[in-house]
Amino acid sequence: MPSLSTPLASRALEEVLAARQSPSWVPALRALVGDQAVRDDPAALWVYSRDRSPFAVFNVRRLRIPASLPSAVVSPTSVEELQQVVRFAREHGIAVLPFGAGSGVLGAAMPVSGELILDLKALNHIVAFEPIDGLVTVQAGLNGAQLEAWLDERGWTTGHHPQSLHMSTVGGWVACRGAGQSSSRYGKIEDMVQGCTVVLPDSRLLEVRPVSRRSVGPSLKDLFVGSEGTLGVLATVTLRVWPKPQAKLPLVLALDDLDAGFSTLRQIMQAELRPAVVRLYDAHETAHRVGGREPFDRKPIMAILEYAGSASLAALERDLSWQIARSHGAVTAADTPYLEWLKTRYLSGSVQYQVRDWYADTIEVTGRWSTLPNMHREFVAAARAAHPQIDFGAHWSHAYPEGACEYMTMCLPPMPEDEAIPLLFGLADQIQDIALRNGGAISHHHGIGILRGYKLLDELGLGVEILQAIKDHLDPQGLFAPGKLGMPDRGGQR
Amino acid sequence: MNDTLVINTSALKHCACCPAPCRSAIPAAVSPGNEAVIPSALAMVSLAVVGGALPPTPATRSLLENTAAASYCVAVCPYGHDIVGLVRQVIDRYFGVNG
Ligand SMILES: Cc1cc2nc3c(=O)[nH]c(=O)nc-3n(C[C@H](O)[C@H](O)[C@H](O)COP(=O)(O)OP(=O)(O)OC[C@H]3O[C@@H](n4cnc5c(N)ncnc54)[C@H](O)[C@@H]3O)c2cc1C
Ligand code: SF4
Repeated sequence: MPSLSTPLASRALEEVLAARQSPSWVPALRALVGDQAVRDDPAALWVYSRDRSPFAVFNVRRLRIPASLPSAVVSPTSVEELQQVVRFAREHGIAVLPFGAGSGVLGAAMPVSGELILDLKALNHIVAFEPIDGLVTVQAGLNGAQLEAWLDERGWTTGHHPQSLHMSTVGGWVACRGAGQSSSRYGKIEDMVQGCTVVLPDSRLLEVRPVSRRSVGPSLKDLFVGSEGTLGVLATVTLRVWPKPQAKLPLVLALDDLDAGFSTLRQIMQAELRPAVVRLYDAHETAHRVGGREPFDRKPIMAILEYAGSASLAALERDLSWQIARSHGAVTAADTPYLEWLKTRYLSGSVQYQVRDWYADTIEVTGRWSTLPNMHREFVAAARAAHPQIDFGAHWSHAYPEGACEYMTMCLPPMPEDEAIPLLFGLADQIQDIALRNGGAISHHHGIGILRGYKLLDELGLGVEILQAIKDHLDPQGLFAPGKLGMPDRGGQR
Repeated sequence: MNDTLVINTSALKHCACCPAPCRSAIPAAVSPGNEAVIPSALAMVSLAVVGGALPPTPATRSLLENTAAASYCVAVCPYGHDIVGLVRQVIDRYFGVNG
């Protein structure tokens, strides 16, 4: 288990480079896929030593390697070439790590023991678009926003719009079991994936054909949705797509308190209404966005909703939602906060803190409606106890009939790193425990990576043994993404 | 080599810490599969050169000179950073004409 004070063995870049030796197999790999496709110069390896986890950012800004340099980087340009590389790695006993755009925030794409990085972004083609079936098949390294732009030109959308849309790949969405900002209407990525092809650790290509429903045993597709590179490499993905909505209608609400907000969202979701955007902000985040503005000066909780689809259906859903909200004392506000949110919806809120040497981190958990209010109270108490100057805020932006995801941001002011990191990791640890105690899940869409791996047993119980058995069968040498998703690293440590 | 050039390290740090929402502006056919071409990566390498952690070798120089992809990001950077210009300064300052 990563310790809370030093989750990973980070070291100065200079020190790591001084001790580095280029692996003997690099020339053979170059001979296999061509010189251009393989990189092992120190500057390139430095680039691939991080993902976007705050832990990585804290290290990179001090010119430290968060965990390990990769041994080399290879960029296959076709699925066949990817298979050749995987075969090569297996024959030489080389650990590999699939890499999309490195936008993960839990260390999943970060090498921990000198892995060979498989950068998949050259696999970026659209393979098939079948509008009659509402399906698009793409290579896994395609950039998310480029896929959306391509579909948009043709009048379609995936409905998957994570904040990281422009900075992530389709394969990364699937591998992390992610969620977009319109998940309350279109579902999470697991609801959208209809089929996939996967290069297995033995280099064979598994195909899960895109069929809307089947009754042929447990869903194999779901084995790979969320597998974080541990069971193979997603080569292509088939996603459900939708005609672009004719209308998008906002509804901005001001509420007296969070309980009114929870009741409103719950009843909207349970009334079979399907808002495309659901965002409920606590008083801290509301003040940050609209502090002092009318009517939030008297009702300090904001909810932003958006209804999409045919104009008449969207209007009806908005009206029905408003009736529910009104019964909980809500009033409507101007659309300005919605329009402001639209402008920044795909930008990171943390950079402004990280660059000033603050320590900003986020955590997102799932809870049920019956326990969300208590869970939140416990989270706030834990945050307040962690540090008097912590900047802690929460919002609920993925809502379902049964519950919702609480997304928390926690920022500590500049202080010695050996104080800040244990504080942040200790708080994240407590938040996960609180979520579990309240019947929730430790992660809603960021996945597990390295940093939540030690909690997987608490989350899955006996399920961990099943996952490990599947892993051992598919990847007996433990070469794929070692140390991720609660699996042992190359040294056998979990 | 221009010893007097003052490098804007705070802009480089901002760009290195930024998760690169600009990357979708890079056409899919330009240097695909190479993370080192995006602005944030060029900034990360530049910072390491400026900080003395990465030696100014020809391989590092050639990585920094590969700005074709990043040039698509300059117009869309929401923070107004001209990463190509910043990297050019790092090359001038630390690698010199023949470095
Ligand atoms: C500012 C910001 C906002 C974010 N917002 C959201 C959000 O709204 N919703 C959300 O879900 N996430 C969000 N994330 C997290 C991150 O963007 C997602 O997890 C994303 O899906 C990762 O995609 P990627 O291509 O960058 O994958 P990477 O970070 O490169 O990889 C992540 C994991 O997936 C594996 N992987 C990648 N591609 C493949 C493949 N083809 N086959 C097998 N394994 C693969 C890697 O090995 C690694 O384990 C955010 C991150 C940032 C920095
Ligand atoms: S150029 Fe701008 S958007 Fe792109 S990584 Fe740098 S700071 Fe971020």
